[in-house]
Amino acid sequence: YLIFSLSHHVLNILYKICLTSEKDIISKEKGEEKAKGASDTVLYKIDVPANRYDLLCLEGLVRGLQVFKERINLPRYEKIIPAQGEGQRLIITEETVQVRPHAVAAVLRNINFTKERYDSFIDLQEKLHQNICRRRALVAIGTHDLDTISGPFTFTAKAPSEIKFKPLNQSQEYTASQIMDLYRTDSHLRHYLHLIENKPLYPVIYDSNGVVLSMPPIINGDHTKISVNTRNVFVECTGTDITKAKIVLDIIVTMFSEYCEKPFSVEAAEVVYPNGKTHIYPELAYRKEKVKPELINKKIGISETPSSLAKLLTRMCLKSHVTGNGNNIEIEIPPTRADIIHACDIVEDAAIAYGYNNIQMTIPKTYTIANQLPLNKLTELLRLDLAAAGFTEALTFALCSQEDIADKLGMDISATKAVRIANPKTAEFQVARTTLLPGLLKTIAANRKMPLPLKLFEISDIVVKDPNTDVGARNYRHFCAVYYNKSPGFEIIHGLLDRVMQLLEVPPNEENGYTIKATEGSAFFPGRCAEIFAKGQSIGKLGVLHPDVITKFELTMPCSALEINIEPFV
Amino acid sequence: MGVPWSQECPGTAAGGPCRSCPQPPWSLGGVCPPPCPHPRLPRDAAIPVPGALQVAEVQDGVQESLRRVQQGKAESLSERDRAELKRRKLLLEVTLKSYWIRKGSAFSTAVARQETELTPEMIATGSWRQRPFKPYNFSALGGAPSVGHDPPDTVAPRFTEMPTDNFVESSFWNFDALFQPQQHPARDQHDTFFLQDPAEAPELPAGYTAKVKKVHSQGGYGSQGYKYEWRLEEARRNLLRTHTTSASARVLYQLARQEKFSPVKYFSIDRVFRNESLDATHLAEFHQVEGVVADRGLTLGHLMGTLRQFFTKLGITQLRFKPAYNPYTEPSMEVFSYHKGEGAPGGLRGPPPWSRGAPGGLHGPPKEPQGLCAHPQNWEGPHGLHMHPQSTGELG
Repeated sequence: YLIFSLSHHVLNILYKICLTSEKDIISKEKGEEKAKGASDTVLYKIDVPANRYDLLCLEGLVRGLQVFKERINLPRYEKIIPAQGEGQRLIITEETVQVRPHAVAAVLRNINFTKERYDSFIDLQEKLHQNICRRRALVAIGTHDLDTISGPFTFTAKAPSEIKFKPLNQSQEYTASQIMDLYRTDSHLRHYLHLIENKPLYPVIYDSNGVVLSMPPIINGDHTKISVNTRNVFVECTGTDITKAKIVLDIIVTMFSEYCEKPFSVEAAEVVYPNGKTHIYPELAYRKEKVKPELINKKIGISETPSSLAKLLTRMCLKSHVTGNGNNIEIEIPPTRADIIHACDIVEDAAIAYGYNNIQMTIPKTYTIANQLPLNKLTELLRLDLAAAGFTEALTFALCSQEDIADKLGMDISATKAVRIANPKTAEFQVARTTLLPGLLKTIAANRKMPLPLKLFEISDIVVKDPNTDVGARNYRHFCAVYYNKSPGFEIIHGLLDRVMQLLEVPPNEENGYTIKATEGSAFFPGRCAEIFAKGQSIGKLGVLHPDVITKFELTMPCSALEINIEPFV
Repeated sequence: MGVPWSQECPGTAAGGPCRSCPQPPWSLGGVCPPPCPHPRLPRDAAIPVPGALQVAEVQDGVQESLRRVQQGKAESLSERDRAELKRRKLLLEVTLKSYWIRKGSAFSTAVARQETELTPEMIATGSWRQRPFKPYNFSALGGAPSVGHDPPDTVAPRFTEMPTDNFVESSFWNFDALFQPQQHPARDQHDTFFLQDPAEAPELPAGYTAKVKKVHSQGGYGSQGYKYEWRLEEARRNLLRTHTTSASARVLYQLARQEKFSPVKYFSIDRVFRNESLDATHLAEFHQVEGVVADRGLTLGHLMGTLRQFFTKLGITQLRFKPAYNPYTEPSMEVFSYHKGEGAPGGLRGPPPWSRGAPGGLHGPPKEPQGLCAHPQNWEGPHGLHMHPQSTGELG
């Protein structure tokens, strides 16, 4: 979100805005004491959607609002191509191909910074880095005081030991390897070191005198740092995604060329590729699209005239006019709207300008026949009857620790066919559960103070690896019940199984119904475990839980449990 | 009681029956039934009986047999003889059982009672390890639970339920098929649970994958695309689904492959996973309600109307719609609902208690690689009502 102090009323139409103040923010984060003396001015916290790079700075936001309120027209961004030999050049060498192949550049000529504008300029770069640049992995931005350096500039890659310069705000020179160590504990920069650290060559930009502009994506050189007094800015973007690099450059120059002597004009620079080809940047491309008014009206569910629609779009910075015999709208998409990828994006902007809450809500006249999935229908019916039998339903997490489904149940993890998570934040999310039992036992452990007996059940999915599915794993719908009391109550759990089978209309015989046979189970007390057979297969087990299982789940009373797969009964 | 005629009854001759006894002739060893009228004579008297046979010796087979038994030669008698003697109660067969007894492994001089059930004390002390337990009888039925009954649920929604029975999903269905670019931050390590095992989906739909690749990298179907290099390995990466929209994508794909298009309304309510740290308002797993309507001529107004209907059923009637951004829906929106139960408890000032729910929108045509023709306006309201236990109570 962005925080601004604004003195005029902001319309709450575009995106979610909530009110706060500096005092509030500090108060929330550090407590009321620290907040004393902080500003009470109302601040607006604005949620900007992830694809609107043009609204990431105050300049862009205000510009968008003023166009929306029809106070100004959207400025026309102009690319000024200097005379032959006078423009800046950025030469890319082939060494960059392995580490950071793309680069684009432009110049903001005769710019006037104030403290606020300067802060905003730095802030926008940081926001773009976090957003479209994907934390500098895709694109990194460098802005330099052009008057401290002289082109042509060279973007190359060298061995870390061969790169030496004074990084931004440091007092001495370091080699690139030393810089890695220097920033290893820096709260901000350490997250980017890995992007180039293990490469044989590090990217680096020099001017014609060997002054280092930057070592992207880590840090700029101190020599070229810009200040409030900087008049000419050389902007370079390097990265691994050329499309995004172009978008980022366009955004920076369109937003801040407002403060150039010739507002909204950007001086182009020439990029020279290893094969000798050249390209002028920034692109600042304007694109034209044609959309039929009926399409817009139909998709939204409104009926506006073509000229009214054209006006709505123009207010959204998409300059439009009616063409043809009034049956078409031509829309010009400016370089600030990289988010417009398809006609439906245009439709969305029209709807936003119209106001979602002004659209009439209707119900589609789609006639369909309804169907519940048989498995879910069965689950619903069973749930009701199990509750009627005096058991309480629980809903537990599908993810758990490895111990929960293996060690605590007396098994080895390799025997479980469990699906394993690669990046769990905590040990609680190492695997997907292969049995519902641990969840219920943990629920009991969390409710030990409740009066006995505790009778819980859950009908929910477990997950196991299965090489026969297209993703390599599948769910099974299990039913599990536990009885926790001073005595294990095996007959109660057994009775519950009988009741469930009765509901499923499965008779208690071996030929065409269900049967139980004594067996051993690592989670069960010896001699008090049985396997349940039905529909020609083993569907689960029931029995008295082993005291080791009980103590490992931090329980103290005897417990009996039942778990079956209910999918054969669908 | 009867008189063994060979010795005492005078009315007989050796080898013959008693002539004066009216009873039928007896076999050797038989007796005259009482009362035999014949007077008893002293043993040694040799009274000649008219007509009686005189023999020197009386052969008494029974006596003979019994003597043999006495001498311990019972086996020399035939089965028949033995049976007869037994029947006459002259012979008693007694079975003598003998045992070899040795000390077994469980021998003890103390008497140990078998436990029937595990108890809390046994668990606490671990004494169960030393005690013997009575075995269970698994062939008996269990105790029938006391059950109440409920009339069956008769909710018949106009929506058809989508199958969502896979928590594990490939990046392809979860992201790529939904036009979410491969460099999107949501595909980051800290937002999504990626899988170590199974790490990759073995199978992706070949033709469709090619189309998706093209739209991402070059554009197509009227879209500019994202213009980056789309990688198959990235699409294969398995994860725990971050939304049930992946299930919608699969279902719409099947719909597109039908011969003839038919309008559908789908819904699902199932679990999704986000790799977030847990706190009072965030869970790593929660349930998502998802709805998809596919038909011709659908509009944003329809989406809003359907969402309003849905929220009304939850008892929420005050709604506001605001624009939002979703890679796979365009136009997109978020719904804000006013719920009296939430919001500022007394004394705190703050913004009105609008809570964020339901992102939704019209499916962008970049999804039309599924082969659906240009007319049907697929739209979808992935009602991302993040339901978790805390809020479920309030929403009732």
